[in-house]
Amino acid sequence: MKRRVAITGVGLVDPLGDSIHSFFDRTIRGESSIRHYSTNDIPVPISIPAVHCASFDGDAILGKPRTISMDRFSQMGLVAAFDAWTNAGFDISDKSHKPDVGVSWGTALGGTRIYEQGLKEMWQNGRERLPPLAVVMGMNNACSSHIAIQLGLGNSSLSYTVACSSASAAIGEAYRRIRDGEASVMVAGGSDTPLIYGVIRAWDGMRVLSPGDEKTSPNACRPFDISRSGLVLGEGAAALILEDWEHAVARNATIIAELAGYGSNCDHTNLVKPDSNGQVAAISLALDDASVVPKDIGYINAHGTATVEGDPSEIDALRRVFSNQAKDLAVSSTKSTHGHLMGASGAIEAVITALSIKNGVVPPTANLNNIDPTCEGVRHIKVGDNNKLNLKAAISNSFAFGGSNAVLVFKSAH
Amino acid sequence: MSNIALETMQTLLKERLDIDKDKVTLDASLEDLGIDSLMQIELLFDFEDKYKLKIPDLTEKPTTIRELLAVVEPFIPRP
Repeated sequence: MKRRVAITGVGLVDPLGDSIHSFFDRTIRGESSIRHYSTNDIPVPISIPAVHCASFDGDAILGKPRTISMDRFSQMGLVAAFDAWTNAGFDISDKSHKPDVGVSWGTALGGTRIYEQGLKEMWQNGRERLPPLAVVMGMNNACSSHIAIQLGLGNSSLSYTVACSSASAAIGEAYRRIRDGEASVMVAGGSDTPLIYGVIRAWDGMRVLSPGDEKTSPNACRPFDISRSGLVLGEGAAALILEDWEHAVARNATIIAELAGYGSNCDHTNLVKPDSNGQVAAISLALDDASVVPKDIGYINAHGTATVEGDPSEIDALRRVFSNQAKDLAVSSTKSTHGHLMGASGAIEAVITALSIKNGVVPPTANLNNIDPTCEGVRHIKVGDNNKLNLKAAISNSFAFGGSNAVLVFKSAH
Repeated sequence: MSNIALETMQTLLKERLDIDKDKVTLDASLEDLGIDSLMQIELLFDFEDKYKLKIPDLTEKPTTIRELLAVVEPFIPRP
């Protein structure tokens, strides 16, 4: 028998260094955390719009020696996981062995930062070899390992690298472990820190980064808008505590929402070009898994990266799946407020979607003023629109380079 | 054992692991200080960096600060 999966805790690293409540309130108001980001890197300084968690200090929050072997993506992930763990009513100081509790984590870039630092040391300073901690700081499963070690999670420590679908896949696979009786509680989420010289330059080379300066950066990301000019990189982490419903009820946990379905597949057509056929199939799989029909869905947290090709493809998929109901379907992309967190984007968007259901209010697409005709056919939520919705169920989409799609379905806990 | 080696180790452990210098004595247990095998190698790497040395790989498992410093001691330049 399949078990129901409750979301009993959420946590994140707020870009402005505030609380999750402040983050959610700003997101609901459509306030952007995107700022102009510049560095003195050589050979060419960085100057882009980005979400940089400037006040984040892992050493101050987590303390040494805990952080000595942790790259920034692991530090952010552990902080988000601790936040969610506490929010669920668990104790972060309890390191006892928990064979029924695991972690499932998403990251696209892992510890790329530590390797780039090492390359600079070798090529600029003539260093022959790198500190041995670089091995364990750079590995993609570093963050899930630290979460498991710090919280005594003996069930599983799983890491998923599926580009921009990484965290959604991690959350979906964690959901399946609980649903199928393999675990009672899972810490699920993702973290990524793409503000790395080589990573920024590569995205820049792909010509999909939206430009911006001190004045224009907060408005640089404009999903579904006719004037959209590309995505904005963001760093961060978010986590959810997924729990067997009966387990949560037995300990009188507060249930934020139900994670009711997960659909994943692969387009297998092109490394970068989105394919609405694959997206239609993934959304349909998720609806079936959650035993809901399109009319049950009241809100879609779209992947919506604000790229020229990606946005119309996603809306096309929604029009096809939701058919006659599409025009009444509330849709928004929150990436214009928190940026594109790469492998962590599905986690922060899952947190937003779960809190939207709980609070009966959905976020707008910030900076959406003039809808691109190719993106019409759904009810886009703009800043200032009525966004109070009594949601029965909602969806979060993640569509990745490589053709990997991951769709999560959330239901109201009531 | 030279003072310079011990003082360097005390400084490194304060910077790296926030261990108070007075706890880093020659007979202090590496395990008690929370210095596992990976951190031992990392510390040897720090010594290599600081003094521009090439320290050979560990052949025996040190258990105290004294035994760990014995590995680097022969290579540290005398003032």
